[in-house]
Amino acid sequence: MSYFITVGVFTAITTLGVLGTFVLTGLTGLFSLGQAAFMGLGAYVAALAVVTFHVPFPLALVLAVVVAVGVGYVIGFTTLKIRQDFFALATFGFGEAVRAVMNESVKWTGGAMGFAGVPRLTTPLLALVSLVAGIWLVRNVRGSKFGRDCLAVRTDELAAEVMGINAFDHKLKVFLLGAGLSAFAGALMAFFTTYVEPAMFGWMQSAVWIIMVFFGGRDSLTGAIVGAASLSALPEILRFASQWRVAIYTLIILLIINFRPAGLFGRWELSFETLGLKRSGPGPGRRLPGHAAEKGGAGADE
Amino acid sequence: MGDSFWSVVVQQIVNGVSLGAVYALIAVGFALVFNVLKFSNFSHGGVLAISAYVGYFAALKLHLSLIPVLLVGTLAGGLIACGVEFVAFRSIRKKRGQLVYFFVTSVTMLMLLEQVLVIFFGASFFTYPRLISLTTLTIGQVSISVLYVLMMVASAIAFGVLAWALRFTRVGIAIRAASNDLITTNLMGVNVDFIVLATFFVSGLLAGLSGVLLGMSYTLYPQIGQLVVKGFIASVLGGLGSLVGAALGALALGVVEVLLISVMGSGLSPAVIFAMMVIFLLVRPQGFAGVSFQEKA
Amino acid sequence: MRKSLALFLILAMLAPVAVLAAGCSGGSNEILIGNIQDLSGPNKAFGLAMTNAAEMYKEKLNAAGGINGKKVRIISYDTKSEVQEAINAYQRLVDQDKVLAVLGPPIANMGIALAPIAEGKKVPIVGLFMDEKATTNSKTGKPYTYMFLGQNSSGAQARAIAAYAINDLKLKKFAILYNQQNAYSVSLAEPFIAYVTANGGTIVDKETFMTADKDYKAQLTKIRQAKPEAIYMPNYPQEIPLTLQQAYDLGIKATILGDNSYIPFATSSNTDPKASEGVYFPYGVDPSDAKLKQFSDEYLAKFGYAAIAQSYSGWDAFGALIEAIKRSYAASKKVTPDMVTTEMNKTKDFPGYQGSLTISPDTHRPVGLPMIILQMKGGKPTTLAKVIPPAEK
Repeated sequence: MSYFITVGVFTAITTLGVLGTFVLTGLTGLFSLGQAAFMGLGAYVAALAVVTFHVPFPLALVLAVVVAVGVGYVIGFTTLKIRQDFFALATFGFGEAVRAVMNESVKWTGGAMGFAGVPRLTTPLLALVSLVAGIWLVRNVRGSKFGRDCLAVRTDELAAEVMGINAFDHKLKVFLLGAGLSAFAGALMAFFTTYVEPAMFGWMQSAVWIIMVFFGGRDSLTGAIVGAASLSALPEILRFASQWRVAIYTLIILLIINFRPAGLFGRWELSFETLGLKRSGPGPGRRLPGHAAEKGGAGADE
Repeated sequence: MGDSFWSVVVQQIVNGVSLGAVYALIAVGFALVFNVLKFSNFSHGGVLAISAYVGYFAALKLHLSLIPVLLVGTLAGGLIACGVEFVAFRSIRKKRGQLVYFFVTSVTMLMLLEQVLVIFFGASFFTYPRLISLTTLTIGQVSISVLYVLMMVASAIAFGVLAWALRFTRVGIAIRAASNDLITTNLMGVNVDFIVLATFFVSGLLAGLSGVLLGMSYTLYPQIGQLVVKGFIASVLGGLGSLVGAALGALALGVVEVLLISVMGSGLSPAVIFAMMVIFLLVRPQGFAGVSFQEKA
Repeated sequence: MRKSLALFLILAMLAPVAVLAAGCSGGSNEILIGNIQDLSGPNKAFGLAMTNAAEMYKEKLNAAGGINGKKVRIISYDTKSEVQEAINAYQRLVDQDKVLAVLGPPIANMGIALAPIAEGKKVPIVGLFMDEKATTNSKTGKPYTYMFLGQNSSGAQARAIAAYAINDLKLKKFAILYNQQNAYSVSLAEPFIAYVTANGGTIVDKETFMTADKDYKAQLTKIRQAKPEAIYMPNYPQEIPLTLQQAYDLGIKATILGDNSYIPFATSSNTDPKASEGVYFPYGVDPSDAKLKQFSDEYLAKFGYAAIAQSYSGWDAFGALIEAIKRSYAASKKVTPDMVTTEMNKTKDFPGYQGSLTISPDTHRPVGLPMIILQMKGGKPTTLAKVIPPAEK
């Protein structure tokens, strides 16, 4: 398999995982420092199912999602009741706890040595189809009444509750959707890299995903996808720059967030309309109040 | 001369408190910025790490002794934090950006500062020159290292000065006012830019001090700033509105970590700490200090 | 304005791809060798040590005419210490750059992850991944065809110090303190425990910690309570001075046994000699060996910082690889990755800094390569003995 296809598959899988962060942060405004742990959960569950218990691969993928959503339900049910900052902390604790369990159960997971020898069953086609399906799912959820209700909760939880929206219930559902997406991505990854280890799923990974979402814009699915895809491919592209690449990466992000806080794409979506068949771009009136007062373009600030 | 059960327990509590003192220094600086700008400032860890290296080079190249090294590192932390505020947070604040942007930027800053250290110093290993000789105070069967005593004394002095400054100086009073309501403080004629800068400066001083102390008692490596998560946990447990709460949360975290390790080993203790944390937050969402602040007007 | 900015940024990011795609393939009068190392992450010090050693070797080789008139070129890729990056780098080296062989990282989990992939790509990796799982397929018990280890495995190193402690120091009761999240530490701890218990010793306490932990006094207090005669602390460089100092702080008098990362940290003048006094540890090379002096002086002058263990063993690993390529040329005037693999199996008595390096075709690891046992005295390591690591049993 050629090198560029490999990078492409990695990018597709990462993007799918980041979609989990995107739905959570984009629809509820919550951010989870344990999102990568769901990816890890999916990866380990699927790998264990196939390698140790000889479960067929497609069933293992389903199992990964089911387990992650189950665990997500317990975590979400307890932690979504507490305040936003606490939620970040609670998910952080959850992520570290998951890693601790992976490290501790050496007999099953190989502990710190990692879980090697997973068969390579994720084909480029499977990764691509999964990504497209994931994007389609997220797009539909965002466009549905449920999605718009979530945005109402994000903007003003109290007002939304007054309008009869059950904020907790909405947050929990979105949280589970995010967990499922990330876990599925994790399962695909395990069967592509053929190796997983707990160190891959730390809180910094979750933080990087949040950064990717904000890079493209958390109100734009197109932006989140482009952000995730380009930022996960970026280190690979910058490989020639070796040690400078992380610095360059972080600098680009700082510039974007400082000068275009709504992300590269703001609320812009790729669609037939925006491709020029019908002109209705992002008018200023469509922005959320929080995004006000940006002057557009780099260097326009002070 | 065997260790009796109680001497082991006392020793472990001493271990826990000395660990908690380290966390406290980080947590209070972390909580200070949270107090005013209401976001979790992870770049605090980056400032801490760079100051630790500044202190190291001051000790190595300028042959400074203990107190000057502490002062240089502390001051460096303050200045770096001002720089961070200026580069990373000012324009977001001007645009009234949402809290999440601050959060994202602060994590990015942590990565950037860490990477700067990797680029310039990652090729070699560093340990601080021995500024104080390794000595231990032993009382019965309980020992504590002089370095930790020094850390606790330094933290206590720093907290004392901070408490005094917040209560009695004009800037301190303005910072406290700003932590109640930044916009109204502005309307009352206080220069908010200056107050925010001052907050970052003070928080940076604490980061610098903790950086040098951590560097001295631990080894120096670019990722040392990631210890900021301990400050994060402690200040959330303490109740994010309160500096005293952050310090208490840190001490509690130190003692709980040590006791868990001694009872069940380090392996699963993160899982237990997580469970305890969630239960605690559910039972007492306002944290130790009991200061509850409103998220939205 | 905003869309054009977005477009510009994306183009700016993609531009280097075109540049890379354009100018990469090696000329026919060059021999390309890949190098996968951490050049910007937490283990940059190890990565640079190996890269520098390989570059030094290459310069000498090319100055002397290269191999069969062909110059050797090393293509180095950074891993940031992330396994996924190492996998990407290996695939890129094989598919894009078409290298003949790869100098691998001194990181255990990367070796473990790369081993099954190399079976498919069929380009050999010679590295310092000490964990035996990187060279032996744990399912079949047979060696991975394309993986070769250029220094003693972690099992051999752990057994070397364990045997010395039991036979020479006459110690019987051991405690152990190690980083459970670190594959290197785990890969040393397990064979140590196995050897001690199989040879009449006992493990009275086993304590672990996590990478994020910097305070080990809770664990050490428990160890103190268990009253071992010796404590084995197989940890990473950053952790070593901490474990030593905190053990000293708690007044622990037991003999401390270390690993091959104790140089340079335990020996640094900044680590209090009181804390490191009397510590025994195994090392790949003998610091009192005059041959090393010349290398380390040259290294220091060239790179501005001191050589560490991985510089010497990296030199040996690279050297053995170059010799395999040379033998392949001598035999059939050409060379392929498979031929290099075959020749690597025949590595015999390569004169390295660690000793004479012979690779066993049954394990793809060195056989009969000595370990040097050192002891810290007054802050300086002194050479005590040269031991051949006992075989596993």
